[in-house]
Amino acid sequence: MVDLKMRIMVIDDFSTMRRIVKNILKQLGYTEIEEAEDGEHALSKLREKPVQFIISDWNMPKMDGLELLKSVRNDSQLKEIPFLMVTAESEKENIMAAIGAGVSNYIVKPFTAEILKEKMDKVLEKHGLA
Amino acid sequence: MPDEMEEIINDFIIETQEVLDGLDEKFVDLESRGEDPDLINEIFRSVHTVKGAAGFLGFQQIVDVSHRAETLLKKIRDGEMSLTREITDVVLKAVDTLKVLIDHVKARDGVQEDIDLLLRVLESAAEPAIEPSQSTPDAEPEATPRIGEILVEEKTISREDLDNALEEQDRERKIGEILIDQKGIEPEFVQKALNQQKNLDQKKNEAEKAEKEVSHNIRVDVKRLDSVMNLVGEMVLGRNRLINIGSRLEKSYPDDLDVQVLLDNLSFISLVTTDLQIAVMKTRMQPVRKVFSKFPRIVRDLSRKLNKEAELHIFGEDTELDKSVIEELGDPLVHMIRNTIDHGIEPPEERLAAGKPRAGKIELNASQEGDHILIEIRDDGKGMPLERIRQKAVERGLVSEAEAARMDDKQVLDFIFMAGFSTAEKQTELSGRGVGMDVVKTHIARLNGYVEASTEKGKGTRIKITLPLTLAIVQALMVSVGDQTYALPLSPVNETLKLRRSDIKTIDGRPVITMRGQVIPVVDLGRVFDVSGLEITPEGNDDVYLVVVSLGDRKFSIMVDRLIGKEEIVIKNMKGLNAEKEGIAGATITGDGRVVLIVDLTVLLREMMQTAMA
Repeated sequence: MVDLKMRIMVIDDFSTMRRIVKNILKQLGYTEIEEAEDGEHALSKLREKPVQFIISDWNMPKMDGLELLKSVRNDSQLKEIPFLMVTAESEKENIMAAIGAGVSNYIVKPFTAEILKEKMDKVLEKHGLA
Repeated sequence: MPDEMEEIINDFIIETQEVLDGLDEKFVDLESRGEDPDLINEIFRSVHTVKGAAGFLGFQQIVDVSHRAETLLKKIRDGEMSLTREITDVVLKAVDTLKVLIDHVKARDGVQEDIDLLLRVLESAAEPAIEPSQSTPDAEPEATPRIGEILVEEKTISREDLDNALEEQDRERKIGEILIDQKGIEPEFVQKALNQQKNLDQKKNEAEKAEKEVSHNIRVDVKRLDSVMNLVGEMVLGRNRLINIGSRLEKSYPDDLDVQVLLDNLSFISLVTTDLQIAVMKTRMQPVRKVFSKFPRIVRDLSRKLNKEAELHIFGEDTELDKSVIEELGDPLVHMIRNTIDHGIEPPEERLAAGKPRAGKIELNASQEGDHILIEIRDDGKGMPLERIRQKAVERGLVSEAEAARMDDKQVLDFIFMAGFSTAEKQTELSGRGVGMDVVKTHIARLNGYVEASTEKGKGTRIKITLPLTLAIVQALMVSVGDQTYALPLSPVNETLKLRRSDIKTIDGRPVITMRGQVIPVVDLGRVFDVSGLEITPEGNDDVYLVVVSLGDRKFSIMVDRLIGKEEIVIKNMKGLNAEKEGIAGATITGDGRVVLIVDLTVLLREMMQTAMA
């Protein structure tokens, strides 16, 4: 069974987007949702208190999603955390780089609750968490 | 969850509007700074972000416009196209349309704009993506290399190797590990990763600080702040009443211990109330940047339209003002800036001929001085046509020729603030429609502010606006005339004088006093408001008080019977009152529970000048 109490971090520089994703996660029954507004911010929060799942936007100021992914995968404390990258259609071509850096999966926006659930389930399965 | 959805949409509107407003400024920067890749990327990201959120919320037209604008911007960012003025115009048009679309979302009117043409223009603008410049492929310096890609590029591994490894990755853990296992390379990469980590550690403190700042922000509906402000206003009034009662008690029972304790507590409450008032006021403060950020775009568009060149320099945009003041300030400032470009700045040829640089310079400056804010607009244009204004004033029968000749520049300039007074011979689409500086002045006066102009032929014009920090609560000087009490806003008050009625002289039929060698006109408050009981002067015979005030560079004095004292008052608007006509800015309730009218000093000044001219 999926642990609905798991801590999820949503990273996006646009606060409305964070709210939208949070809202979808709530619809899926998740309750413990953290937020960060860019990679740097996320990383410092993660190092303070890791989460069990990361959903990050790609395109952000300061540290983008890919940089964050690399930093997470290079951090012994964080490297196991499932990492779902949110991309736009136009960024799909870059997805190779994200796969190269160890992304767990990616999701193209806009997405519905069903699609997010499907992607998250796949990721959790892959990480042996579901 | 419909409520949640509603709130998300509200957030989206606010955030998107912020982003779009910021874009205008970035574009203007871009035009003056040239193609700064960071700036282009920021612009790209803004549009991208709006598109992403709009997609979720189902605002298809916003998605359509931002998607095409994004495609265009991406090409520019990636160096496939260069940013010409034409392309900037197209993208700005898209930004404008996005603003309109957001307004529809905000109004919940479900109106669809006709965006087909714009979409086609955006698409065709993105089309001629020829001449891929040589520097394109790796134009953007990547801070960190992409592991797999770099290895493939350096031919350390093949694309197939990478793909295989990526497939492995599904079951194994990390691409790096797999690759190291398979190929046994990478010391360099490990080093790089370590360096990066070190860097991040250094940045950690900074990031933590930023995080704290971020998480301590909260968006609050302005209505809530307004009601808090209102309550604090009521509390200030209540406090004033208590102080009044307190001081009466003290007089009646000077030795009563309980009264002393009461007074001690009262002064404590008074202190806290003042602090609370300041704290609430601060929550409503916003930087003037909010208004100023529109101007680079306005200046750009307008000067292009009029075939002029103008540079806008903004200073003090962090100066803070009450939100409601900021909101009211937008229109008059826009009007003045338009006027400046339209009438002040000369065409480039004319400027060159006058030995000035091609592009006119406009300075917009905000600063705080004590409890008020100064906003200045300066230009280095041709100045205002003083002779023309003089002439016009005579033509309109406002003054006689002789009077006009006697007036100094400052007095002449005051005509431009009169209703319907416009000297522009040729009215442009933008300014000079007869609604001009008088509207500006009324607007500013409504904010308890004051506007004045000075000009020098061939050198330029300077318009200075003085505004109070906040609208709701002001320090006032309470005065009485006959049987009436009035409140005068304290901040323009310079000093008060007690003198005999006979000290007031008359020059040209106007009452004046001489103070330290300076002649200062006198306004008799009792006559202005037609107060009854004027003859009953409690102090007996001839003593009067004069309150000397300065509005901008104008100094005059107000004659009253008695000075009551300083009081903090909460301005309450009065319905059905024509403040302009009556010279009343509003009303307040005083410490002793009476309703007192607040005098509008700007109206007094104008009345005085008109009688002076008549």
